[in-house]
Amino acid sequence: MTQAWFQVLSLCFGYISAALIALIVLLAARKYASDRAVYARVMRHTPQVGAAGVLRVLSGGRRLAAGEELSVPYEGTMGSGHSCDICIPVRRVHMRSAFFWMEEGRLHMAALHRDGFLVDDVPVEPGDEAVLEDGAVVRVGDAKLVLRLYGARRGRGAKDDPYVTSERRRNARQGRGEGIGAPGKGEIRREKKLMKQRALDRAGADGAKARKENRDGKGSRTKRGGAGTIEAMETIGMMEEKQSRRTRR
Amino acid sequence: MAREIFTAKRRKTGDGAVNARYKKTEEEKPAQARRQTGGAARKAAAGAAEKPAAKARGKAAAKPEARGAEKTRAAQRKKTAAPGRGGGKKDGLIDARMKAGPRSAARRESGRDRRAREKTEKAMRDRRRAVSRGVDMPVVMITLMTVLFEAMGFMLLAVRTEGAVDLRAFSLLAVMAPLAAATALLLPRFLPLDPLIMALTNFLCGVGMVVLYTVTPERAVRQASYYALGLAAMLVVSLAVSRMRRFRGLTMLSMVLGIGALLLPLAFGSWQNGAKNWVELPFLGSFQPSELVKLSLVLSLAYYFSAHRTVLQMMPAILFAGACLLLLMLQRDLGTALIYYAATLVLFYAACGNVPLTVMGLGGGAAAAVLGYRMFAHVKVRVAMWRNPWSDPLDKGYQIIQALLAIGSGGLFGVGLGQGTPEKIPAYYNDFIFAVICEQLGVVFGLLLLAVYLVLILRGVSLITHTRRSFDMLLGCGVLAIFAIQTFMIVAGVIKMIPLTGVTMPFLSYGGSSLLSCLMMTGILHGIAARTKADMEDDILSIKG
Repeated sequence: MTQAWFQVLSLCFGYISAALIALIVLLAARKYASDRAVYARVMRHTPQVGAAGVLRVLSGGRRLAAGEELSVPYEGTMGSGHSCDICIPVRRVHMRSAFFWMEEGRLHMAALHRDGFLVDDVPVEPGDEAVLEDGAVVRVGDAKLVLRLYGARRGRGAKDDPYVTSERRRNARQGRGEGIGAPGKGEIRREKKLMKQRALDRAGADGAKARKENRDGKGSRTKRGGAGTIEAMETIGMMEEKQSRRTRR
Repeated sequence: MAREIFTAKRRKTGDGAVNARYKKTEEEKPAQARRQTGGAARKAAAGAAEKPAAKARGKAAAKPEARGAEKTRAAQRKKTAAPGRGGGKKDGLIDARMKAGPRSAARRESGRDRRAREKTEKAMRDRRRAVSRGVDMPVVMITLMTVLFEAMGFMLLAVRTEGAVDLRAFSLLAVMAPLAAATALLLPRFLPLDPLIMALTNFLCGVGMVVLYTVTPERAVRQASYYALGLAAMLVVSLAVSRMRRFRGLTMLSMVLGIGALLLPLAFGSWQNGAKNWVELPFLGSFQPSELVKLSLVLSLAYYFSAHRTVLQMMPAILFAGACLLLLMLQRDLGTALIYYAATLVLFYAACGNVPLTVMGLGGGAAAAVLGYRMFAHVKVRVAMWRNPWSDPLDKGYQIIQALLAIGSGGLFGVGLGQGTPEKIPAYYNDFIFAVICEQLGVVFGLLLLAVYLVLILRGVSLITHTRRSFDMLLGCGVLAIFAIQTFMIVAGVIKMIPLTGVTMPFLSYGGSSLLSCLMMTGILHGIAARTKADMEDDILSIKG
């Protein structure tokens, strides 16, 4: 081919290639848009797709009306921040309050902020891992929500994700602490604190009773204050021993 | 994608509610035909269509077709009335679970919703027919245009020399065109590949190959072999991402290998263009380890950022990224270091949304940039030439001036394929390929090429927003961040928007390591698309029972 013809043809190729790439961009954009539209339609008619369940608001605030439903994905974060997967724009809810993931048809939830949250009126603090089933009531900040897991999701979930490591699974199987569903550090600490408080209350009550009896002239001086405290200390010791045995096992 | 899921679901659930409706339609057709012919059959069919079931049973007892239609209709009514089944379309399952009230979801469905649903179902039906015929029109058209572009380009270049035919161009065409057609049209049927991403990737690679052939045919031939190798690697990565369930071991291994690979140039590499980032291997030739370590970086960041959300638990990945950055600084490969840093920051923000720490990271990056400017002489030169390349037009500012002149001389539609003087630009085959494309095919083509990148990235974003696992999302996010940052850095550098950094243009530039890593990262996107599709398919199947 002569050089002149080559120049003419290569110029033509420039125009044709511009037209081709314009068509390619248009077709690709069309395909992208149509796929998105179909996905949106699928989501409109089957909102359950891609979600593990919903959190129905029992009581919220001005920005979260009761009865509203928040879709629960298979894993993510919960909090008042807009970046959270479950956004709860309610007073006293931290930006990132908790993170959660689905496993074996149950929703596992761990606190990220020291305020924690309550599941069925049981407080969950950082270090704990709450396992929620269908119907569990979650209270975070001023919001109260009830969890509804889709029935079809039972026994399924994102169990192959890296959240729950093999070590945690092994620990859980062997009944050790820090496993799945095992009491976390926060729970053990809280249990100890609660037992101590109860024992001290009991001791205090015994002491008051003894003091009253002394004032009334009943009972002996040796009984005053001592027995209840000793009993409380014994209870705490037993508790601690039990906990350590459990951890050793 | 979602359409395919629905289609797959339909094929699997033979007795679903939607299928029952189609069966009914099919069985009504003969009844309608008989209605037209008149007689007792007309009465029976009309009775079966309009009157209560008992009456219709009596009148149409002799007509098995009409009985069949009635049965199907009764089954349909039963299914529609059952809460939590396919009949309760929009939120039947939720309402059944919630025990919200006695009214079924189907009864509450408004006319508007029903029309919208029917429209969707029609679209699904059309989609099913199209897929069953193996036709996905936009992808087929894009692939055809890619093949046409390659065919025209290579044939034109084959007859460029007067009185001779370049057979190498034909052989390249014989390799490239079937590969493009097979990977975009055939393989997505059997393997986890997203057709649109595959078609766009093939087009970009095809453009790179044709333009490269105009300036250095030998390099184009070598690039074609890397392309074939890259496609194979992409398939492996795609299969691995879509099938694997545990990434812990792979992450650890890739981190160790990544650090080892980045140490190689420091130990055995040689200085080239002010950086020591290439290694010569006995049989494979030279390769750039930092290109392949991008995969390790994305994998480790995605794994640790998704598995543990506290900053302390993210530390292994952050330390790995820091070690990579340090090694790249020692190699003086600042462009790649910038990509690593920006990708890490993007993934950190995507994982935890911690604005103060992200801003602190940005501040740290700015401080490192200032430090790099003061420490390295070639960075100072690049910044000075970015500000005023005409201060030293024959030496330091030569390449940027030549690139700008090439883009300007190309005009809107270019000087023509194989025309112009691209060889005057230093590094015309890798860093400045965009300038060569703009010179030969025009600024319009260059801008539309950027639009192709944009669509590719948007498609990736749309894929990763539908993932179920945060690991998948972060993995895809890292890949897309690298593509976007790299493309922006090189294009903005070539048009003198930012100081020039020595990085390649994804899929277009010459370079085996670059093309291999880009195709492998595309494989990650394909794998994520397949996983998401499988998850959605599971969801739809379980919802519809």
